Amino acid sequence: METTLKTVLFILLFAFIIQMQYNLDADKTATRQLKSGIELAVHDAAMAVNPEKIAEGKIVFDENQAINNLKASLEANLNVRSNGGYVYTPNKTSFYKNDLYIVDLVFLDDRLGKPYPFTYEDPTYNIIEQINGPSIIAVITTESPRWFNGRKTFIRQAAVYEYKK
Amino acid sequence: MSKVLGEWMVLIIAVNIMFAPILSYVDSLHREAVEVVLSEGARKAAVQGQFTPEIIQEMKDTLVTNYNFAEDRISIEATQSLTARGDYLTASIQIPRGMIFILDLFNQGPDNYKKEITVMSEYIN
Repeated sequence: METTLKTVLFILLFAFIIQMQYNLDADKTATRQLKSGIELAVHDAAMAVNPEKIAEGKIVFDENQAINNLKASLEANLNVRSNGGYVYTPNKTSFYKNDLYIVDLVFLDDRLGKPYPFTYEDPTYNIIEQINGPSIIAVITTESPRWFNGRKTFIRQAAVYEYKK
Repeated sequence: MSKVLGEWMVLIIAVNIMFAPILSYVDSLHREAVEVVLSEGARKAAVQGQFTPEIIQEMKDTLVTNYNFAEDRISIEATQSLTARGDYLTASIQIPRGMIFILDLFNQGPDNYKKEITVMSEYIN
């Protein structure tokens, strides 16, 4: 009887450790993948530059094309799908369980007419960034795809892609 | 007799459970290594418009020297042709997975881990 009790306690203890570890691991993996995913996505988005404006010596983003590039990149790298480019639904085989949202997407280019560098601030997402040239800033968020039930954790990552002037 | 049998069964399962957290942590670190190496490689390849043999070799060397993978068991597939700005480069790294359960009694999952990445080329002719 004593052995049985000890065994049960031992297995419960390890079950507790395993669920805690797997949940933290899901948080960590999702954080890393979102960071890398959004960095690649803003990179691809920043490739969409209006060619006519380049002839005038200005860098102006083609916003529709940029959103399409952003969407294509996130769909390919995070195994999700989207209609408009702001809300992403995970595919069946995806690591994610809940929708991913692009909560902020800002285009800072030569249309602003501001001299570089300047400081961009967005208190909503705690962004303070020195902008040295035309840039795209994006913020992505999702609920962590934890394996076991527990407190919900939201993950938010931001990325900036900048042309240095 | 039944007590001895029961104790051995418990011992075997207990050993499996004891090692599962650390082994799955190792598995997670392997995945992280592959993802980080692949995304670093993709950033370099985007600038050059292709995964040059040097970039591929560098990714392989990083996995071998820093993360202790066996070189002949890493398989890397990547766009090696020069790709113009606006077109996509893809790459994938496949590595063998280690074990999760130290005694091979339960389903260990797939034998390999494969990660793919897609990035747009920046290369201007």
